[in-house]
Amino acid sequence: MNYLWIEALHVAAVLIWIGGLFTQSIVLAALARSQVDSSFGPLISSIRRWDGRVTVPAMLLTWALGITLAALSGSFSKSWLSGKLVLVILLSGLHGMQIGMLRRFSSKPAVRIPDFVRWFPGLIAASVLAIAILVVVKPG
Amino acid sequence: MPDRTLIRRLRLASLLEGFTLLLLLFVAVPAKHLFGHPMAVRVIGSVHGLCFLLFLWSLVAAVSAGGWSRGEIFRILLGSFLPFGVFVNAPLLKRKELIPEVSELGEEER
Repeated sequence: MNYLWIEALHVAAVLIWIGGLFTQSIVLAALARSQVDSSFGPLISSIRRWDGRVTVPAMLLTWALGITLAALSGSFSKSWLSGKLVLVILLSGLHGMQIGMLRRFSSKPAVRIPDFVRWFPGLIAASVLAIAILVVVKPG
Repeated sequence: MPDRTLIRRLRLASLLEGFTLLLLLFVAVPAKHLFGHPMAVRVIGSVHGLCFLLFLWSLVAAVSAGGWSRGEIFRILLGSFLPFGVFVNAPLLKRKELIPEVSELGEEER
């Protein structure tokens, strides 16, 4: 029963974290595409506030509960979990980069957002798809 | 311009990573090899691994906010692999944390 509760909380934390990641990446992609003006300011502030209060705690909870679940089920030696871990580390790194870029933009709006951020939403979607397949199908 | 909140988070993560590395090297490893307690390395090793990931994540966020030279990034990364390295780098992070942000400079000028 405890395992199911932890699993439910883990899934909820993942959904909240990925939602926050998508929001940040789509706004950053829009900033990279369009001419930047001061009207973006309040939106960026709201996203940064939400990130500090909700998205970052959700990421930490995802990690903590995920490791607990893996330890309880003895899955650390499984190859699908190793693959999933690589993708989760990639998503966590992407999250860190996005936080830094949003912070940089809010303190210096004249700084240009790099063009490669346009790939971030697609990269997140592809990673989530791969994680879902790894977790449900459990190949290997 | 470095960001104060992100650098404070990086400083905390770096200290945690440094302390757990010292615990691993000077407590857990002797406990395993001298006193036959392999569990110590498993537990402290896992905690150190998590602290290292948190440190890397905080570094990525702080560097993405700008205001870092390649030499500084290399120094911070190198310090995380060496025992006592984070304590050598602590004054650098403290100094960067104390650099006033753009918004604060604006307030001072007003």
